[in-house]
Amino acid sequence: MDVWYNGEKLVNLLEQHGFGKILTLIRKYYIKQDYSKVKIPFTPDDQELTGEGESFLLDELNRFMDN
Amino acid sequence: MFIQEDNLSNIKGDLFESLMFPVLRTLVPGADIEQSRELKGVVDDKLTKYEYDYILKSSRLKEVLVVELKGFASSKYIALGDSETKNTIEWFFSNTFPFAKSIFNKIEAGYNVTACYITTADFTPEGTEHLERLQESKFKVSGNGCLV
Repeated sequence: MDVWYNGEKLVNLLEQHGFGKILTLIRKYYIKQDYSKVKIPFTPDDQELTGEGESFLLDELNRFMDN
Repeated sequence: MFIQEDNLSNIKGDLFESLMFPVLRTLVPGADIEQSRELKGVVDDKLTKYEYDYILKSSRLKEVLVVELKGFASSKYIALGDSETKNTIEWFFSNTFPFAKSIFNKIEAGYNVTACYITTADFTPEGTEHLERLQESKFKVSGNGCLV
Protein backbone atom coordinates (compact mmCIF):
# COMPACT_ATOMS: atom_id res chain seq x y z
CA MET A 1 0.00 0.00 0.00
CA ASP A 2 1.05 3.58 -0.57
CA VAL A 3 1.15 6.28 2.08
CA TRP A 4 -1.63 8.19 0.32
CA TYR A 5 -4.53 7.68 -2.04
CA ASN A 6 -6.59 10.45 -3.60
CA GLY A 7 -9.79 9.69 -5.52
CA GLU A 8 -7.95 8.73 -8.69
CA LYS A 9 -5.48 6.41 -6.96
CA LEU A 10 -8.28 4.91 -4.89
CA VAL A 11 -10.30 4.09 -8.01
CA ASN A 12 -7.23 2.38 -9.53
CA LEU A 13 -6.66 0.42 -6.31
CA LEU A 14 -10.29 -0.76 -6.18
CA GLU A 15 -10.25 -1.73 -9.86
CA GLN A 16 -6.94 -3.57 -9.44
CA HIS A 17 -8.31 -5.69 -6.62
CA GLY A 18 -11.77 -6.30 -8.06
CA PHE A 19 -13.87 -4.25 -5.64
CA GLY A 20 -16.51 -3.51 -8.26
CA LYS A 21 -19.50 -3.02 -5.96
CA ILE A 22 -17.58 -0.75 -3.61
CA LEU A 23 -16.29 1.22 -6.57
CA THR A 24 -19.85 1.69 -7.83
CA LEU A 25 -20.90 3.17 -4.49
CA ILE A 26 -17.79 5.33 -4.29
CA ARG A 27 -18.57 6.70 -7.74
CA LYS A 28 -22.21 7.26 -6.85
CA TYR A 29 -21.68 9.15 -3.61
CA TYR A 30 -18.23 10.72 -3.86
CA ILE A 31 -16.55 10.65 -7.25
CA LYS A 32 -18.96 11.99 -9.82
CA GLN A 33 -18.52 11.14 -13.43
CA ASP A 34 -16.86 13.73 -15.63
CA TYR A 35 -19.81 14.46 -17.94
CA SER A 36 -17.66 16.43 -20.36
CA LYS A 37 -16.13 13.13 -21.47
CA VAL A 38 -19.43 11.30 -21.92
CA LYS A 39 -20.57 10.80 -25.50
CA ILE A 40 -24.28 10.18 -25.77
CA PRO A 41 -24.96 7.79 -28.65
CA PHE A 42 -27.09 9.22 -31.43
CA THR A 43 -28.30 7.54 -34.58
CA PRO A 44 -25.98 7.94 -37.61
CA ASP A 45 -27.91 10.96 -38.89
CA ASP A 46 -27.70 12.55 -35.40
CA GLN A 47 -31.43 13.18 -35.42
CA GLU A 48 -32.46 11.01 -32.53
CA LEU A 49 -31.03 9.04 -29.65
CA THR A 50 -30.19 5.41 -30.00
CA GLY A 51 -31.69 3.00 -27.50
CA GLU A 52 -28.35 3.03 -25.71
CA GLY A 53 -28.36 6.82 -25.54
CA GLU A 54 -31.92 6.91 -24.22
CA SER A 55 -31.10 4.30 -21.63
CA PHE A 56 -28.02 6.25 -20.56
CA LEU A 57 -29.96 9.47 -20.10
CA LEU A 58 -32.71 7.72 -18.12
CA ASP A 59 -30.08 6.16 -15.85
CA GLU A 60 -28.47 9.56 -15.28
CA LEU A 61 -31.86 11.15 -14.61
CA ASN A 62 -32.60 8.48 -12.01
CA ARG A 63 -29.17 9.00 -10.47
CA PHE A 64 -29.78 12.75 -10.31
CA MET A 65 -33.22 12.27 -8.70
CA ASP A 66 -31.73 9.87 -6.13
CA ASN A 67 -29.26 12.50 -5.03
CA MET B 1 -26.62 24.80 16.27
CA PHE B 2 -26.58 21.55 14.37
CA ILE B 3 -26.67 22.06 10.64
CA GLN B 4 -28.24 19.52 8.30
CA GLU B 5 -25.30 19.80 5.89
CA ASP B 6 -22.90 18.71 8.66
CA ASN B 7 -25.11 15.73 9.35
CA LEU B 8 -24.99 14.66 5.70
CA SER B 9 -21.23 15.11 5.67
CA ASN B 10 -20.90 12.86 8.73
CA ILE B 11 -23.06 10.19 7.13
CA LYS B 12 -20.89 10.25 4.01
CA GLY B 13 -17.80 9.97 6.18
CA ASP B 14 -19.23 7.00 8.07
CA LEU B 15 -20.29 5.32 4.83
CA PHE B 16 -16.79 5.71 3.41
CA GLU B 17 -15.30 4.15 6.53
CA SER B 18 -17.64 1.17 6.23
CA LEU B 19 -16.85 0.76 2.52
CA MET B 20 -13.14 0.71 3.24
CA PHE B 21 -13.33 -2.09 5.80
CA PRO B 22 -13.35 -5.01 3.32
CA VAL B 23 -10.68 -3.24 1.25
CA LEU B 24 -8.30 -2.91 4.19
CA ARG B 25 -9.04 -6.46 5.32
CA THR B 26 -8.03 -7.70 1.89
CA LEU B 27 -4.94 -5.51 1.53
CA VAL B 28 -3.57 -6.44 4.94
CA PRO B 29 -4.72 -10.05 5.29
CA GLY B 30 -4.84 -11.56 8.74
CA ALA B 31 -4.50 -8.24 10.55
CA ASP B 32 -6.49 -7.32 13.65
CA ILE B 33 -8.65 -4.38 12.63
CA GLU B 34 -10.02 -1.79 15.01
CA GLN B 35 -12.39 0.94 13.84
CA SER B 36 -12.74 4.32 15.59
CA ARG B 37 -10.05 3.44 18.10
CA GLU B 38 -9.40 6.13 20.68
CA LEU B 39 -5.88 6.62 22.01
CA LYS B 40 -5.10 8.66 25.10
CA GLY B 41 -1.86 10.04 26.44
CA VAL B 42 -0.29 12.98 28.17
CA VAL B 43 1.29 15.67 26.01
CA ASP B 44 2.85 18.72 27.67
CA ASP B 45 1.15 17.79 30.95
CA LYS B 46 -2.25 17.71 29.26
CA LEU B 47 -4.41 14.63 28.79
CA THR B 48 -4.75 14.28 25.04
CA LYS B 49 -6.90 11.89 23.05
CA TYR B 50 -7.51 11.27 19.39
CA GLU B 51 -9.79 8.89 17.54
CA TYR B 52 -8.43 6.94 14.59
CA ASP B 53 -10.54 5.70 11.69
CA TYR B 54 -8.77 2.35 11.45
CA ILE B 55 -5.81 0.76 13.16
CA LEU B 56 -4.58 -2.53 11.74
CA LYS B 57 -2.13 -4.72 13.57
CA SER B 58 -0.39 -7.45 11.63
CA SER B 59 1.61 -9.88 13.73
CA ARG B 60 2.83 -11.50 10.51
CA LEU B 61 4.31 -8.26 9.20
CA LYS B 62 5.14 -6.92 12.68
CA GLU B 63 3.42 -3.75 11.69
CA VAL B 64 0.78 -1.38 13.00
CA LEU B 65 -0.95 0.59 10.25
CA VAL B 66 -2.77 3.81 11.19
CA VAL B 67 -5.35 4.75 8.57
CA GLU B 68 -6.92 8.17 8.08
CA LEU B 69 -10.02 8.26 5.87
CA LYS B 70 -11.78 11.25 4.35
CA GLY B 71 -14.94 10.58 2.37
CA PHE B 72 -15.42 13.93 0.68
CA ALA B 73 -16.84 14.92 -2.70
CA SER B 74 -14.23 14.51 -5.41
CA SER B 75 -14.41 18.24 -6.17
CA LYS B 76 -12.84 19.07 -2.79
CA TYR B 77 -9.15 19.50 -2.04
CA ILE B 78 -7.40 18.60 1.18
CA ALA B 79 -4.76 21.18 2.02
CA LEU B 80 -1.27 20.57 3.38
CA GLY B 81 -2.16 22.70 6.41
CA ASP B 82 -0.32 22.37 9.67
CA SER B 83 -0.34 20.27 12.80
CA GLU B 84 -2.98 22.46 14.45
CA THR B 85 -5.50 22.57 11.61
CA LYS B 86 -8.00 19.73 11.40
CA ASN B 87 -8.87 18.03 8.11
CA THR B 88 -5.42 18.76 6.67
CA ILE B 89 -2.55 16.51 5.71
CA GLU B 90 -0.29 17.83 8.44
CA TRP B 91 -2.96 17.44 11.12
CA PHE B 92 -2.57 13.72 10.57
CA PHE B 93 1.09 13.30 9.64
CA SER B 94 2.51 15.84 12.13
CA ASN B 95 0.04 15.52 14.95
CA THR B 96 -2.30 12.57 15.35
CA PHE B 97 -0.12 9.97 13.61
CA PRO B 98 3.06 10.76 15.61
CA PHE B 99 0.90 10.63 18.75
CA ALA B 100 -0.30 7.13 17.84
CA LYS B 101 3.19 6.08 16.82
CA SER B 102 4.64 7.11 20.20
CA ILE B 103 2.00 5.03 21.98
CA PHE B 104 2.44 1.93 19.80
CA ASN B 105 6.21 2.17 20.05
CA LYS B 106 5.69 1.56 23.77
CA ILE B 107 2.92 -1.03 23.78
CA GLU B 108 3.90 -2.93 20.63
CA ALA B 109 7.65 -3.07 20.91
CA GLY B 110 9.32 -4.38 17.78
CA TYR B 111 6.45 -3.35 15.51
CA ASN B 112 6.92 -0.85 12.72
CA VAL B 113 4.23 1.85 12.83
CA THR B 114 3.11 3.07 9.40
CA ALA B 115 0.49 5.43 8.03
CA CYS B 116 -1.97 5.61 5.17
CA TYR B 117 -4.18 8.58 4.21
CA ILE B 118 -7.06 7.69 1.91
CA THR B 119 -9.59 10.10 0.46
CA THR B 120 -12.15 10.16 -2.32
CA ALA B 121 -11.29 13.84 -2.84
CA ASP B 122 -7.95 15.24 -3.98
CA PHE B 123 -5.00 16.98 -2.39
CA THR B 124 -3.74 20.45 -3.27
CA PRO B 125 -0.57 20.47 -5.44
CA GLU B 126 1.47 21.54 -2.40
CA GLY B 127 -0.04 18.69 -0.39
CA THR B 128 0.61 16.15 -3.14
CA GLU B 129 4.28 17.17 -3.30
CA HIS B 130 4.57 16.67 0.43
CA LEU B 131 2.86 13.28 0.25
CA GLU B 132 5.18 12.17 -2.54
CA ARG B 133 8.11 12.86 -0.23
CA LEU B 134 6.42 10.94 2.59
CA GLN B 135 5.87 8.06 0.20
CA GLU B 136 9.60 7.44 0.21
CA SER B 137 9.89 7.86 3.96
CA LYS B 138 9.76 5.57 6.93
CA PHE B 139 5.97 5.99 7.04
CA LYS B 140 5.53 3.74 4.04
CA VAL B 141 3.69 0.51 4.58
CA SER B 142 5.97 -2.45 4.02
CA GLY B 143 5.71 -3.95 0.57
CA ASN B 144 5.99 -7.57 1.55
CA GLY B 145 2.65 -9.23 1.82
CA CYS B 146 0.52 -6.12 2.18
CA LEU B 147 -0.88 -6.43 -1.29
CA VAL B 148 -2.34 -9.75 -2.25
